[in-house]
Amino acid sequence: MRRAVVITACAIAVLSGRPVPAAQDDTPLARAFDLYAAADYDGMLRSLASRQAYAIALRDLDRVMGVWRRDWRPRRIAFLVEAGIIGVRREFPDAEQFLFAARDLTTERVARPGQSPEQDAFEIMVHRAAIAVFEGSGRLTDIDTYLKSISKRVVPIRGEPSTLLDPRIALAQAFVNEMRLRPSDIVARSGPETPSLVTAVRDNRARDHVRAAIAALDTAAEHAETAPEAALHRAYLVTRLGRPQEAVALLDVTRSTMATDELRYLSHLFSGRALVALQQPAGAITQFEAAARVLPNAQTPAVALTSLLVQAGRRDEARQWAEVARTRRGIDPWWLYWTGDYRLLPRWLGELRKAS
Amino acid sequence: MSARAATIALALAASASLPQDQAPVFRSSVDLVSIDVSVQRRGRAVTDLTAPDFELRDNGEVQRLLSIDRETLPIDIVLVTDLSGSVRGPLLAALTRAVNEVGRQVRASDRVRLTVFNNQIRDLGPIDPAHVPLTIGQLGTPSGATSLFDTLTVTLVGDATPDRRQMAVVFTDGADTQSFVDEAAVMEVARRSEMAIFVVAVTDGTLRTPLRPPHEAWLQSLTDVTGGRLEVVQGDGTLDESFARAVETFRTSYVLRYTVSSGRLAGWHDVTVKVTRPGDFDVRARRGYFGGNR
Repeated sequence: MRRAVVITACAIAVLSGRPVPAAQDDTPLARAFDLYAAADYDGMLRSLASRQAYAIALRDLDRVMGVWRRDWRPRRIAFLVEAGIIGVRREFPDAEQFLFAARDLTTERVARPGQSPEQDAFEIMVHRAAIAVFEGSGRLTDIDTYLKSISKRVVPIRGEPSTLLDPRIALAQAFVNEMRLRPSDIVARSGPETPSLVTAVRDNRARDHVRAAIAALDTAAEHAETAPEAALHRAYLVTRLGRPQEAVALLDVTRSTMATDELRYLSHLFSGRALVALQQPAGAITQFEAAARVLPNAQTPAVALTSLLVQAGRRDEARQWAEVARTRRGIDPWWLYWTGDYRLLPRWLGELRKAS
Repeated sequence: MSARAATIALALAASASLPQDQAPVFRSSVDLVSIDVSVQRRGRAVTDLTAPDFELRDNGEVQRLLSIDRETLPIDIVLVTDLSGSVRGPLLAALTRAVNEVGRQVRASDRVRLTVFNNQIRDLGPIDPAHVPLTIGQLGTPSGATSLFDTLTVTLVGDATPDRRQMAVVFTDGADTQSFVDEAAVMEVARRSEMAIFVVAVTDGTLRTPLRPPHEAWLQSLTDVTGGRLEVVQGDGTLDESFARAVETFRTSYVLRYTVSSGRLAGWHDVTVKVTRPGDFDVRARRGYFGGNR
C-alpha cells in the first residue's frame, strides 16, 4: 500500500512538471542519501548499518540509478562509494553493486576524459576508492572485474588522449597477482644459486602471476608517485621467490625516495627480512632496529628482533623485545601491506566528500 | 641454553626423596640440566615413578639423574588465544569457559597470564583467580587477521625465573595469515626455549566428520620439540576439557635433573627419555636444548 502511494506521488510530480525526487522519501536509500547530502556521515552509516536496511536500499538501487543517470552529480557518486564501503566492510551480500554503480555513473559523464580536469580527478578518486575497499577486504575477483571494466578508460601508462592516467592501477594489478601467489606455489628458497623469477614457482598459473606482478611493478616504478611502493612490493616479492640479494640492493637504492615514515619503516623491515634469508643476522638486526626507530609503536620489528636475538644467544635482549612486542599498540604498516591501497581510503573519501 | 636449566649455576645436592612441598636445595656450583617429562598410560598420568624407572640420554649418553620431582615447583602458565575474526559466537563463549577453567585450576603459587592475538599481540596481564570467571567481553572483540607464528615467537621467549616451570596453552582456530616470521624461525626459537607448548587447535569439523587443522604437522613438531602436546578439537568438542588436560598433563609431569656427564655443554643436545619399567607408556619430553654459549 505504501509503495503504491509513493509511486502515485511520484507520478503526480512528473505530470505536474516538478523535479522527480532522487529516491522515494521513505526508502532507506533515499534517507541515507539525504543524510550524506547533509554531511551527516555518521547518520548515513547508521541508516545502512543493518543487513535488512542495506538489503532494502540495494533493492532500490536500480530504480534510483534510472533517475540519477539523467544528470551527472558528483555527490550521488560519492554517496554510492560510501554506501558500498559500508556493505563491503560488513560483508553484506551484493555490496559491491554500489561501487559498480558509482563506477557507472562516474564514467557516464558528458565530459570525456581530458575535457574537464576536475571531473577527471574526481573520477580517478572514485576508482581508487572502489579498488581500495576491494583490496582491503581481499575481494580479488571484484578487483579483476573492476579493473577490466575501466581498462580502456583508465591506464597506468600514458595512452590515448581520451584515457585517464593513474599509475595506481599498476599497483592494483600487481596486488591481485601477488595476493594470488600462495606460499605453496613457491619452490625456490634463497641459496647459492639464484633462481629466475619464473622458475621459482611450481606451475604455469603461479608463473603467470609472477610475470603479471613484475610487469605491473615495472610500470608503477616509472612514476614518481608509485615508484617507492613498487620497490617495496618488488623487494618483498623477490625475497619470497628466493632472490633476497636483489631485494637488499633495490631497497638500498630506493630508501632515500621513501617519503613517509610508513614507507621508510617497510623498507627497513623488508631489508631485514631479505638479510635473514641471506643468513646475515647482524645486518638484519640493524635493519629491524632501524624500523623500530622509525615507528617505535609498531610490533613487527620487535617480533623479528626477538626471533633473531634468541637465535644469537642474546636472551635478555630478546626478552626485552618480546615485552615490547606484547605491549605496543600502534598501527603496524606491515598489517596493511596485504590490504593494498586500503590504508589510503580515509584520505580519498575525504577528498571525494570535498570534491562532491 | 636449556630447558629452564642449562646453565643455571646452582648449588647442588639434590635428593629425590624431598618432601613434595619442599624445593630442592643445591649445594655445589655446576651446570644443571632440568627436563620436564610427562608419562601417561591409557591417557592417565603415571605418578609413581622414581629415578631408576627413567633412562635419560643426552646426545646419546645415558645420564645419572641427580633429582626427580613432581608437582613441587610452581607453574607459570601463559594462555595464548586466537581472537581473530573467525572466533565468534559459540566458539568465543567456549573459549572463555576454557580460560576460566584454567583460572579455577591454578594453585596459589602458580601464575597465569593471558595473551590474545589477531594480527596484533596483546598481553592482557595476569589472571587473578579471585576474579574468575571472566566474561566473554573481557577477552576482547574478535576481529582481524591471524599472526600465530609471531605470537608464538614472543611467547616462547618466556620468563627467566629459574625456580618455576613454564608452559603455554595456545588456542588457534585457523591458518596463520599475517605473521612476519615464518615456521622455520619459530621452530628455531622453540629449540632454544624453556617453555612447553601445548596447542589446542579447533576445526570446523565434527566428531562424526572430523577435519584436520591448518599447520597440523608443524604444530605437532612444535609441541614435540618443546615437550608439550597438540590436541585437535572438532567444532563440537569441548575446549575447556582440552585446556584443563594440558595444564594437568604439565603439572603432573616429572622434572628430571642432571649434569652432562661429558662436560660438553655448548651447542645442541639431543635428549631422549624412556621409562624402563615394563608397560606401554606415553613418554613426552622436550627433544633437546642448546647449552653453554652455543
